[in-house]
Amino acid sequence: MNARLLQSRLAAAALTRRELIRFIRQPSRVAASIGTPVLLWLFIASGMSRSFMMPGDAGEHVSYGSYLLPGVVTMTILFSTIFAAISLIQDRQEGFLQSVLVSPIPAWAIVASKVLGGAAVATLQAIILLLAAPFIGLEPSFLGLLGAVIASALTSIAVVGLGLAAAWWIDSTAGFHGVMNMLLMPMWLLSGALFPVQGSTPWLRAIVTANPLHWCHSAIAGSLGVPIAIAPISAWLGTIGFALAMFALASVVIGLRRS
Amino acid sequence: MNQTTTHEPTGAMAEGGVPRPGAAVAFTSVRRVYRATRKEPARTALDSVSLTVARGEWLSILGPNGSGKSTLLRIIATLDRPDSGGVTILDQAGLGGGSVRAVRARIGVVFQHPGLDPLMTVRENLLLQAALVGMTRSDAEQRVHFVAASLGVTDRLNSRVGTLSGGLARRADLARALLSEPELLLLDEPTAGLDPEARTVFLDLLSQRRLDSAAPLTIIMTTHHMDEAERGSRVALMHAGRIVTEGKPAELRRALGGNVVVTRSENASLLESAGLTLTRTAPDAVGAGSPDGVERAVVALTRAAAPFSVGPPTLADVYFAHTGARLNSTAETP
Repeated sequence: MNARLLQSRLAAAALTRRELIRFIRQPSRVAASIGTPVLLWLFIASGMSRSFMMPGDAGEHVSYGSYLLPGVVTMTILFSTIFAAISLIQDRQEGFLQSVLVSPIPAWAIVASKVLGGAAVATLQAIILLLAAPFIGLEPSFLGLLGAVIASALTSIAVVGLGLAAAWWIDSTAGFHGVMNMLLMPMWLLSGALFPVQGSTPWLRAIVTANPLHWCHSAIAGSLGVPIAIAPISAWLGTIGFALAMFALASVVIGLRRS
Repeated sequence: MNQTTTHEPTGAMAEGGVPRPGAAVAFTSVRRVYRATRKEPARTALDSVSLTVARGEWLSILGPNGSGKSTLLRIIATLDRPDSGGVTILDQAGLGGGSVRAVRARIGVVFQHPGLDPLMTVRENLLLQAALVGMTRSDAEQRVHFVAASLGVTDRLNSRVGTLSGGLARRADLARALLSEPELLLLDEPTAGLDPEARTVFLDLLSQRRLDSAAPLTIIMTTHHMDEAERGSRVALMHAGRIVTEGKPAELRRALGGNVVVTRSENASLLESAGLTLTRTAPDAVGAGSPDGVERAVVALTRAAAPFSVGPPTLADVYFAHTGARLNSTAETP
């Protein structure tokens, strides 16, 4: 490994550590990040588990609580990663970002630190929710749970990357919230998170199939044994591609506009 | 006296406008225009700026808000690029990808807002900066203690930056910029928001660090405070995106010619009728001109029993003489 690459990796690690320190030192953020999934977990596990049943792959039925879990995981990831991307705007407003931009590290190292820091927190929230799986009728294997965690991490990376690319152009946190909600909420609603895609009209199904968040949701749901509308391999390849593409997009945007 | 001139820094440039080799910074006819947006029209931030800063020199860039100081500094800091003209920083010309990295590894920058994380301690911030410039952990620990001691923040190393006073936060930020032993230190209005005492402490420490530096430390500092600009070995006065004059502070004042007369604003007409040019009208009126004019003004003010003083001109007088504008005004670029 050449010296410059090693230096960039160490710098990215130091910046990632900073993201985690900032998270821990904001008690309200810690409380919200743990409290939100716990509340959702309780509602799903005890409240909606038997509200109605969804048809499964092999003729068996899946409770709505089970069906909804991957969608709630995806939604939690979206909210958490929006916070991670907003930190870029805060860094700019507080003056910290400029001191990073004039350092000799490459743009990808800046993006990597934000993405890893944000994805770590979002994945932690996802894990808390995934612990609900056995209590609401899902029986994922250890590998299945691991797969869901990995898919959650990839989803987090993708959405933080997308958020960073947008945050680079937006000056206010309120404006950023608005733009991201306008973009991400329809993506989430059309990801199959609330209702199965099977049986929907062809045009809606086409939109859902082209939605990257549908691939992420399917990778998480498929790992947990919840029926999905696309082949698992397609879901995984789509999720990995989405994460890589959004990471690259953020790196290019920040690299191009850095000077 | 109200002339605006485009100054070519003769002492810093060799024949034909070619920068002297080995200079820390060399600008040749640099122009930067910000494009029009929905909120603002197009604005010329830098207009044909030529400037050379020798290694080890302390250049103060003095000018009001909007004169182009910060844009000039941002270009040197590799955060902005000129639309035309030549830029060479620490022997790196053109500022392509590799050159930019090379420059960034050798500069330290103090911005108007401290570049520190308020949720982290001073030590954590400094160690983070060390990681950004590629220091090993053991080297970083040594440098953190050395720089913190030299800037008087050792006892606050474990305090969160958000709990520090403005003056201490500035010193911690200076420690961050000096951590990697930069060859070129850039400061963009570093004392903005500080009280006079904290400003003096900050500038004294900066002067001391420059003297203590093992290798020649070049400093470029923007300011709109005359007393801060006087700290520099050379001052460049900026107005409307141009450097209107530059030189040693004492030489600039001397070039204005003799003494100036200062009196109350209501007596400004007496200065004008004595043949002096008003270089300031508030809070006091200041008149500059020939020794005869000064003598006539003294006689007129004495007859009118008006309080006055006679003394050397300030950089504000020099600025007015070259631009017709006051230093504390906002200089809109054309």
